[in-house]
Amino acid sequence: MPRAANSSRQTQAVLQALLASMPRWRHGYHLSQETQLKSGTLYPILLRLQRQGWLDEQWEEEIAPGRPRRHLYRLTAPGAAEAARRQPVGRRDHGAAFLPAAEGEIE
Amino acid sequence: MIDKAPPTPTAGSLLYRAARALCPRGDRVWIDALFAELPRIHGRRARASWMLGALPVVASTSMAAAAISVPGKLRWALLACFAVLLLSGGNAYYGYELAGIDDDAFLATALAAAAASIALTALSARRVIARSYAADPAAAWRRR
Repeated sequence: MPRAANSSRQTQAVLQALLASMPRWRHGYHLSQETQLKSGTLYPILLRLQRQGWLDEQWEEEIAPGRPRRHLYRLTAPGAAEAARRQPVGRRDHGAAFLPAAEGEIE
Repeated sequence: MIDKAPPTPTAGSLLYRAARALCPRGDRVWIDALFAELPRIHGRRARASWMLGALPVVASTSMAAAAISVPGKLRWALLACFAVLLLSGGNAYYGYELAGIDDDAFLATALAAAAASIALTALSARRVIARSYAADPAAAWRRR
C-alpha cells in the first residue's frame, strides 16, 4: 500500500514545528534546532512542502548589517489545515481553524 | 528586491558555487537560503555540517528535474532494458539453460540489452541537457 504523502517522522516534525509557531515566520536554522534535523534533511522537506503549496516562503526585509537576508517559512492555510489534521491526538489545539495573518512576526 | 538571492559571505566558497551551478535555475534560491543561515551558526564543525546539507538539496532538485525531463515511456523502456540486462546477464554468467534455451542466447540478449540501455541512457541525458538549456537561455548562448 503506498504511503501517504508527507507522513514521514521528519516531515511531521517540521509540520508540527511550523504549526505551533503560526502565524510567525520561521528561519531554517531555528527549525533545524527545534526539530533536531540536519540541513540536508530539513531543506529538501521545506522544498517539497513549498512545491505542494503547503509552505509560504520569502526573504526577510530587514537585514542585520554585514549579514545576508534570511529565508523565512510559514505554513499556508491548506498546509496549516493538513498539519492540524495530522497532529497527534491530544495536541489538536494548534492552528486547526487557523488562517495565516498577512503580516506575522519573525522567530 | 526581496526574492532575489542575497549576497552571502560564503558566496565565494567552492561548495556554494558548485551547488548553485548544479541546481536547476528556479531552485537555486534554496541553496541561497541554506547558505544565508551560515553567519548565525557557531563552530567550525557545525558550519561544515550545515554546508554539506547543500548536497541533498542539489540531489533532490536535479533528480526531480531529470525525472521530469525524461518522458515516462523512455523511463519505463530504460528500466525494462536494465531488468533484461540483469536477468540475461546473470543467466549467461552462471550458464543456466532456463526453459531449455541455450545460455548463449541469454548472452546475446544481455549484449543487446546493454546496447539498448546505453542508447536509452544517452537519449535521456540528451533530453535532460536540452531541457536545462531551454530553461537557461544564457547557457544556451554560451554553448554556441
